[in-house]
Amino acid sequence: MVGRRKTLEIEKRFVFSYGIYIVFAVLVIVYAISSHAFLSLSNIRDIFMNSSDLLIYVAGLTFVVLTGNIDVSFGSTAFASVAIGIVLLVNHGVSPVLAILVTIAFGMVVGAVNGVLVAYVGIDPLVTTLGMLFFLRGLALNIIKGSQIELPNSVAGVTTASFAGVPLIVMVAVVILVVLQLLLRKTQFGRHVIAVGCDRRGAQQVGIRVRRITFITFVLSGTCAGVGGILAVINIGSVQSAMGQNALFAGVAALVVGGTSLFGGLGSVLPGALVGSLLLSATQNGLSVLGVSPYVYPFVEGLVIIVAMYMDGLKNLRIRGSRSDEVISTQSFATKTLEKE
Amino acid sequence: MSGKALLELRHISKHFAGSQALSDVSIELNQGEVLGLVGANGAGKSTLMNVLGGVITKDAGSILIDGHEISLTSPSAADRAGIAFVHQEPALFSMLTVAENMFVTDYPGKWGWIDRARMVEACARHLHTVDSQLDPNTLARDIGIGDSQLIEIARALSQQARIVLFDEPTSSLTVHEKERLFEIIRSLKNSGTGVIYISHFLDEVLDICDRVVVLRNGKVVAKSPVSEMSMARLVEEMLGRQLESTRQSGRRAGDVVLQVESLSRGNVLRNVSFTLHENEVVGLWGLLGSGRSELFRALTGLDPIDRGHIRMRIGGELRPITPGNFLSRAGYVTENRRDDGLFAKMSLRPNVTAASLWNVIRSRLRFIDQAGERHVAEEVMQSLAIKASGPEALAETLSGGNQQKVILGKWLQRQPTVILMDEPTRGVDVGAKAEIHRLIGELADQGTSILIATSEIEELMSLSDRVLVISRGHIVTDITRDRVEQESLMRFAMGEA
Ligand SMILES: Nc1ncnc2c1ncn2[C@@H]1O[C@H](COP(=O)(O)OP(=O)(O)OP(=O)(O)O)[C@@H](O)[C@H]1O
Ligand SMILES: [Mg+2]
Repeated sequence: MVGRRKTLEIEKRFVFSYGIYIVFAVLVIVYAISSHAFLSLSNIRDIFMNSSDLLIYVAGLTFVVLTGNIDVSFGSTAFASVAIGIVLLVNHGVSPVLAILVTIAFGMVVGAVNGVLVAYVGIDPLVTTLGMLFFLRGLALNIIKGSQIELPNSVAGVTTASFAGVPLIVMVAVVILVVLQLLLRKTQFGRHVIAVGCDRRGAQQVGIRVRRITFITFVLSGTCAGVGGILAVINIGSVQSAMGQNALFAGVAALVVGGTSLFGGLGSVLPGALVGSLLLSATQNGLSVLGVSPYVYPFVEGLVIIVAMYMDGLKNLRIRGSRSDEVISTQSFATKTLEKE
Repeated sequence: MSGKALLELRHISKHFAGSQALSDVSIELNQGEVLGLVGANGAGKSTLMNVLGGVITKDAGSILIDGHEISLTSPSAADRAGIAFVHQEPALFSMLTVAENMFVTDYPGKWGWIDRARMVEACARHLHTVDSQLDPNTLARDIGIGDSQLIEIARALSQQARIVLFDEPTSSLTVHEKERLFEIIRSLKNSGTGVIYISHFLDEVLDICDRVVVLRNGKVVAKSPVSEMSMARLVEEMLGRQLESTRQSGRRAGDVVLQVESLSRGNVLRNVSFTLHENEVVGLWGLLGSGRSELFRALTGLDPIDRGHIRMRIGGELRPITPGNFLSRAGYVTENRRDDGLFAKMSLRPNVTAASLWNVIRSRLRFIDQAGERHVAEEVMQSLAIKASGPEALAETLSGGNQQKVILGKWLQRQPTVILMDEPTRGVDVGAKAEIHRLIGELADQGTSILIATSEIEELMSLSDRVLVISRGHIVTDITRDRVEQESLMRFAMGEA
């Protein structure tokens, strides 16, 4: 009797717990029916390649948002970091490895500045990072002087590099995601990030160093912006003035669709950031495969986000009655992930 | 000889904007001693413990352990000094598991990498010491306040500290869990640990403490061994006055105002039916997890129900009402004030008027009349004897008991026909408790129907005209007060009768 109840419950959970995957599946099916090209190996590779930078931005952002803060500067941080890197590489003959290190270090420094302003000076995170967004965009445009800078031929090989059919940048992105997910789930730091997001005052009360945790999450986000920027440049082959402009919308949307709560405390890198980013970039990719007018893009993207969020919230209504202590939450996608552990 | 004291507090003072929370407090604690700390709401007990726990810094004074002065600038400093702290309001992180919460400042493992297996095993072991069967992998948001308190206690015990501070540890515990805690405290005492024990249950204090210190308005007003202390004197020292007794006079219940029929929700609530009348206080009695709070949550639409009907008297007639609409005509004093009772970041004024805003809305543009609101807040502060610097004091800066009074005041403002109260006097001092009991009686006399869940038998007996006993989600009996006997209540609640 009890056993049957249990399996029934599990079935119910299964159906309604995967709202976002259902949206994903429907989307893929619709695209696949509309165009044979969509499910071709090369197009799937494209989807992954085009989302590799987004994946990294969102993974870094996840930590900031988990503490209940926000970082909107990552797109500009990525832009400014790679602008510096590519100018060093192209105009000053710096070695590629050093250029990469400088790029990442710059992102890290930007994150540290954000972190100091938010955690120690006490400026609102939205204001701080919004200021940083404009400042860095201006800086980057000045560095590249509004022009397009191509990757030099000496390193152009990296854009097509792949192992066993998996492009280099996708591999890098996946490895970083796994590492960040482990950091979040398996370490004291990760648990403290969640604790701060759940109850800042409580965290202080038990002796968690809230400021330091906050600071580190911003450094992490800045660093991820630098790394993500590098992946974007490798993917596109150049740095141009529009870089990072859509990152903010795509990043925050992928984050939320992936089940991370903007109020903090709830979210994940895997599968959260991964699924959210892939859904978003698959949506875009499908539209371009179908040759739809670019004016339709925002319309469809917005629709997919809303439906995904709705499906994710829907399951709560269904399973709420069957568990004594289910708490009403619109983001139980991430919760479920947590509970699986 | 004073150098022998395990812990010595000398001339501690602490000032907050608007109040002197502690002035010149000196206390010593010896090895293997249980020291009771009592005082009215807002007397400064938690403030003193927070100073010792490194949560807040003192303005003046010194703290000595084994005769050496130490500085407690952070919770981890207190931890290193061998002080463990059971907070008055357990701070659990809702999205972490029980085990992750328990070791949140010090996970087992190397280089910040959590050894999950060891953590879960250790957590289960510590939970076992407080007789808790909780699964260490449950998310904290899925557990109730009683269990939170047990986790908080287990966490403090796990630190193997030389000094353990208990700030109202039993306010949400059941009889059995309390017994277990007292056993633990006795064994701590035998192993030479020093314990400071804060409680508003004075009988507990007289029972398990060796000495007792009374705080009033931030000052020590009495120190004495419990053997030389009586309940009456303790109360008088605390309040600065004697307490008149508050036995309620008999009331005649009026018409039915609420009728609940076969309310069911999974196996948490099973066919719950009962009625409430005008002019009546009904006690809801049951053990932790019996479905008490769940019944309230289902009635008020916070949890969905599978089936059942609710009818309420509206305009002289019993009409069906959905749980969703129930709250628009009733009041609900929740069990967990920290999370769902209070707007912590708002001042007292909007907190008091939140459930009856229409009373202070003037003008067609629906502006809130701030002066009127302040006036209401001042009235409530006075009638409930709320200790705060004024109507503009932030709710979160009030002492625990005073927060509870603010919540009560909020609902009283609304003058609803039915009020549900889940442990309305949790953490409230004896004086204020008598005051709240008097208010509840008055409300009932004026016609309000009150359903009150409490785990304190004395409170149940002195307040209610009728008692509903709930066990495993089922109302097992419905009896008038004069037929209630304490043992039979226990038996009913355990599901034996
Ligand atoms: N952060 C704060 N800011 C301003 N005032 C505060 C703050 N914390 C406490 N107070 C005030 O200090 C006084 C003592 O509060 P405290 O919490 O120590 O009381 P208590 O004895 O623990 O009462 P209770 O029995 O209700 O828990 C109260 O008047 C309270 O309003
Ligand atoms: Mg207190």
